Amino acid sequence: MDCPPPGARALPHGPATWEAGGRAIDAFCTTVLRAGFAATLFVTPEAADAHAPLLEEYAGSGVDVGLLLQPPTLRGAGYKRYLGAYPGELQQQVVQDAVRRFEDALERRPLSVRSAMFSASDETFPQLATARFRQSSISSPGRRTPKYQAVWAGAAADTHFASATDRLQAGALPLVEVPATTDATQCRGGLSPDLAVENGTLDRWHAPLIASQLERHEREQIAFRTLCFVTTSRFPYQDRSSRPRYTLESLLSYLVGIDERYDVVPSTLAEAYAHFRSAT
Amino acid sequence: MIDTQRTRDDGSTDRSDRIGARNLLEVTGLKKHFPIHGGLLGRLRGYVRAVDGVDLFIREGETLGLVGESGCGKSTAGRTIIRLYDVTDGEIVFHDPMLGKIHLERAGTAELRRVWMSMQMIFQDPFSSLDPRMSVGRIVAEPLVVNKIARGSELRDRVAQVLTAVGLRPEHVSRYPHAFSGGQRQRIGIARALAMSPKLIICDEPVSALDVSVQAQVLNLLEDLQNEFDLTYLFIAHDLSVVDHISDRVAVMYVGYVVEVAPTEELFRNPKMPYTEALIGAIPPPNPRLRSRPVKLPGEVPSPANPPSGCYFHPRCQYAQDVCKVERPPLRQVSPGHYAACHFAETLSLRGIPTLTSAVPAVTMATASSVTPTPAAPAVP
Repeated sequence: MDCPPPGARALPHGPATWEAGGRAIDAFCTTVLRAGFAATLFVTPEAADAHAPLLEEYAGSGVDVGLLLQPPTLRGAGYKRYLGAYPGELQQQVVQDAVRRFEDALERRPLSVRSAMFSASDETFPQLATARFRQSSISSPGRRTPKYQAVWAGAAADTHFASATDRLQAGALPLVEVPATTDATQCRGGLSPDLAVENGTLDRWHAPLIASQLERHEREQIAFRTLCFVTTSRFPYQDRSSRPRYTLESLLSYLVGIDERYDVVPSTLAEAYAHFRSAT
Repeated sequence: MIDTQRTRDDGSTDRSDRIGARNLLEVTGLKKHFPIHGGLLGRLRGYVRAVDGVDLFIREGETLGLVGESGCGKSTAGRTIIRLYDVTDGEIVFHDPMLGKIHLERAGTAELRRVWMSMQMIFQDPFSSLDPRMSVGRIVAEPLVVNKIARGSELRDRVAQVLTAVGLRPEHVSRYPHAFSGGQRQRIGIARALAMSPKLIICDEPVSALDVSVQAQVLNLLEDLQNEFDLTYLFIAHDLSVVDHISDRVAVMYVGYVVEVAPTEELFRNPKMPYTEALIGAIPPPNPRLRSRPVKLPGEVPSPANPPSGCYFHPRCQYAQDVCKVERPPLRQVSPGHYAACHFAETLSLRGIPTLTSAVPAVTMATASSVTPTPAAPAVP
């Protein structure tokens, strides 16, 4: 779950208020954990500060609390664009600034990272590896949104070590990249269908996409298979009658249902890193 | 002496140790009727008998569970006992450790303020019961400030002390409620109640707004605090498994009055009132493979604005006789420590259940399942 601050003009849009954001995070984590699954939160430094007690509590329950790099919301820093739009040295500055603020808020260094709007350039992964991040979920294979410097056509669709020179390819950096699950063969309006919880319904959107990706995994004999879901704290997961909440619960039940065939291992991004390292 | 000794999950039997012989609270014939106005002139049309003759007592150090369906008047009873509502009729006697015996039903504002130092309330919804514009420090300190109990460094120390007692970090005093999870917010509400060093806390469904996985934390915290600070609880809930987990005795309410009171295990094993039998018969068995035969109740819960004659439960009671239609049975002792409001409490053979402990969601925390590294498996970050 991406957790940007409220009221920001940057994307993805944040919740209406801190209250709404806190409750959405709380309800999302509770729902996911209760179903026996794992959650990863990507929070901006400002959101980390605003929700510190809540995030500390969930970190203690096994939730992976990572950093959401959303330069326009780094208060007072004056960044107007998304991460991938900046040259390498500036990206380094953004990352260092955000990490420092995150550490101030939560008194620990983030090891998981996502760039808002999946924005990245070829220089992004080396900068993140230099900043000692261990795992990231930045790529969205098939996406073509140059406005946000998020061009992922031809990107590796499965978990891999990031490359020092090419964001689209696997490489040898000590940074494990877990792409958001998409159907890269389709692209409409610059976006490939992804597993955003709030998109569509389970029957029409998520289940077919999950099935097609699991088929692809088998067809291409992918050794380490992942399904990476995304959402943001903008959606009212605390409202039991809301569609995102209903879809989330349906999705979790669905994943329990496919467990018999696929041996689903609920993992945070940090756990995915550990599994990937031990498997390769 | 009531036998309140119960075997805990960890095998210990420590509950009876903290329960004193003295009653802390005695409620007799408590009534709270709300007027119904209607028509163009707003004439009085009748009364909603939200609380219609509640009798109960709570011993020092005890937890009395007050249970019943939604709308049966249990929250209104709690709020009337603490005098958030005026009393229509009846007696509420509180044995204040400092002020002595106090008749709350006729206490004035000044006296109530003094009594409230020993009597506090925890509210149901931690999301709406905390002022979003007040910092945690101010929320917890407010009763101490209003009652001029502490100020300055003493106030800060007391706030830090109670926040620590409920498992929150004192460094968070300047934060606002939105920074906290639902469980943490309920801890703030508990800290606020605890700040006054009360003897009695009325817990009005304190976990029903929380996710099942968080309920355990709050219930365990309440038990720990009870042992640490010698607290007495009136624990209002509609979830029998929660009540079973925390209560020494349970009082069952139906349409505004208490129909049965007994030590928890005795009530579940050996109900004496047909409504209690139906209530506990509706609990799903912990093992879904076990068959159960729930007692089906015909009809609807009567309106408290127009309750039936005699025993309020008689239109739905499969054992009802003519006397039940005309005479409301008083709450009377049918065996040591076991009270029931039923004409046939001694003769009916009602079905109970051995224990609820294994069904209690509160004692089993839902956590993220352990992860076994499997190379070819989907991960769900």
